[in-house]
Amino acid sequence: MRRKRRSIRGEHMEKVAVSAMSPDGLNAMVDMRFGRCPYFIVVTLDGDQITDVRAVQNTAMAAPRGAGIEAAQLVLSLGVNAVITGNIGPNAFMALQQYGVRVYMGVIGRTVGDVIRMYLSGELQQITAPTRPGMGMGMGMGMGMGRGMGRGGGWGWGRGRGRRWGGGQSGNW
Amino acid sequence: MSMTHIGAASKDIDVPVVCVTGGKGGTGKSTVAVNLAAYFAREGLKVLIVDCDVSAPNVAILMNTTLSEKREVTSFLPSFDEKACVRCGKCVSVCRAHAILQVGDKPPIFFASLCKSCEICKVVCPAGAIKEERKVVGWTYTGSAYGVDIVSGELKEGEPNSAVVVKATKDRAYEVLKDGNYDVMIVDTAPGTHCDVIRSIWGSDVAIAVTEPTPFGMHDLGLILELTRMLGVKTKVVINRSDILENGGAKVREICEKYDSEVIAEIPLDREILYSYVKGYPAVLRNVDTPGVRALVRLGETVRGLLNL
Amino acid sequence: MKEIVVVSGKGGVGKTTITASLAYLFSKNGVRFISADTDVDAPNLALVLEGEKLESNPVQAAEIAEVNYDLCNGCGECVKYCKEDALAWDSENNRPVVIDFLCEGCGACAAICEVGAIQMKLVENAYVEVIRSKYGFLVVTGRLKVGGANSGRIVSLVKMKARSIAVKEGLNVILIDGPPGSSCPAIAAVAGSNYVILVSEPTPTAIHDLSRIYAVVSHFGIPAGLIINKCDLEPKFREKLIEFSKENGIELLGEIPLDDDVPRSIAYASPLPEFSPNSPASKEMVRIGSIIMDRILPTI
Repeated sequence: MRRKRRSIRGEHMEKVAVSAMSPDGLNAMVDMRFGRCPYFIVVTLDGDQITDVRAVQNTAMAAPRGAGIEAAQLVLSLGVNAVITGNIGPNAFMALQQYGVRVYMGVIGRTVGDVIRMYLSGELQQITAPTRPGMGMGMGMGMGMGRGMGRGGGWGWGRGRGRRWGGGQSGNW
Repeated sequence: MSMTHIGAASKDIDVPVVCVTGGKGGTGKSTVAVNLAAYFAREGLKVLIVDCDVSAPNVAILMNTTLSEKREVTSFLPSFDEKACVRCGKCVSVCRAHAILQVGDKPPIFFASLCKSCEICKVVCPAGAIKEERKVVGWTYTGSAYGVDIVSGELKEGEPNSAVVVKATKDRAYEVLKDGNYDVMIVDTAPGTHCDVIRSIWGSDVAIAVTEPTPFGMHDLGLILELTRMLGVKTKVVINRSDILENGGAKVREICEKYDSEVIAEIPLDREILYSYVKGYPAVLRNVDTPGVRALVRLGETVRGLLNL
Repeated sequence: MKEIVVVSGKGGVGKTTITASLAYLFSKNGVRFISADTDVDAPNLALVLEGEKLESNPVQAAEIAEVNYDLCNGCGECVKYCKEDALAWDSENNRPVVIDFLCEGCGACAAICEVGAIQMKLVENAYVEVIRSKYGFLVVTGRLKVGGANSGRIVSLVKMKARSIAVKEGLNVILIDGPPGSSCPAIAAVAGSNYVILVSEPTPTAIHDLSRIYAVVSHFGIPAGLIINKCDLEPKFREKLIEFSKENGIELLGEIPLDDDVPRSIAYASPLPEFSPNSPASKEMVRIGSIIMDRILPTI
């Protein structure tokens, strides 16, 4: 889904985290991995102006397992509104979506500065709802949430799959 | 330090234990285990066979029997009470599996597939907001056939955590051992060298590694011998289908030498063994005299000697 | 650079046999590629393609508990608490002992220890190795130490090694043998690839597991093709597989018949098209190989 962002200064303050291969701010190359990238470059935007650029070490990088969730916890605690990366796993994506963070996937071979420009001009592809293949994901993926959230897990049957992030609302997320 | 008081092996029961393992799948572990059990029973010994290959338990199938006394194996799953939760993030910080995520004033999100059921989240929660839920991850059964008593475990399909079912299966086996005057226990393990296999081998007096003379079989034999050496369990090797590759036996012996082990039986391809397999009737109990069946009987005698039964 | 990953969900359906055959066909047809084995529990690709080990580097991809006896007050809570029985009580010295190969790294003992005497430490549990196959191309493989457990991190490290070699040597394709299952290691194997080859067989469990791994594949929006192995095993389930591929827009790349030469080729550790070029299974494998080289590779 592509959406042109409104860019009125002062009205639209936001933070964007980009998975990166080095701490070199806007010159760092985007890392295609979300959970196991070495750094996140956190860019603060005021309208279409960059007001702050900060590199944060990804403490999840060396986690034996569950790196995606740990990285999601990290970027959420930084208070970001959007995440730009190459690939993000289903678990981490679901977590970010639950927290209302927009996720842009499929970025490779570019610098953080480039993708921020692309982001501002609405050129990046936002993941909205996942497609729904497979018979009830059950334990394998186990997307179940705690009781308190009052929602169950599992993916339904695979109808209406577009080649990429097609499909409308997904019921069970 | 004595290690015998650990977990399932801690029941203070003095019954000799032999486990049948072998690294690669499909080498004939269960066939060897079942025939060993049937041979012991035929010789008048009281035998318990334990099927710890919980992903594909087939001892009962090979003995053509139906198991009963099904018992559930459950494991812990946290259930979050959103109202009671004080959003302190303690559960997130202690969960090394990263199965919980919580930021700010939002309620926690739980990822069941990553949870290792360690329960520490519930322990550290200061608000009592994490309740215990049990989920069924498998079952254990008992039964008997051909004078052999059976304990078997079964993993629920799609459950990743098989270790807990293996543990429950061994616990159940020790429970059965306590009530009877058993002479020997035989444990059939899963293929591989992962933690299920380690748990199955743990506490055995002797391990029997069943292999076949193929490149994969021999590669995996090296791994299992390395593992049993690490665990300090004396291991003997059985070559199944010993005649499928020329000179296979010599190569297997080379590996054995490296690990201070030895080949105690070579079982050639034998239609009678295959027939027994399909019929669910252990070959050693049938009145046939073929090279394969003779090798199985001799193996029984040898293992009996090893365990001083 | 293009990454093709072969996955199946269920183990034992012929994933490695097919990957090895594809690698063999790639090399015979001059594809500039490297292969990677991320099935670290059973890294058999290098066994089939046997060759010379060029490199072996230990990697830290697991955590286990470590007791600091200077701080330990001998309360024994950790031993009582450990669900894995990985902590034993040493009654001679009145202190807990970690049994390394039973510890799954859950960290519960570290969290429960009141005096902070237990720390989790990263340990070497695997090797990342580079092998030159007997056909000349390189294979990067992950291999667990005995008793070690797989993790997403090992898979990630194997893929990184393959990528860096591919860049250095100017190779265009990485052919990855994926792990079974659909959890962390499988997700890590699929992430970032350009094409997924799904391998399945007509049995209920294989179809069930296929649908799970496909959920991961379609999350990443990666195009996929299906190979039905042992296609004549059970017509009813073969129909189901074909239906599944149609419903999800997965191309059916081919169907490999049951063939005695397949297990024999495995016993002799030789890729099928080399072992028995004229067997029915091999001919179908060669046909599938051409589809991938002539049509899939140029378009992904």
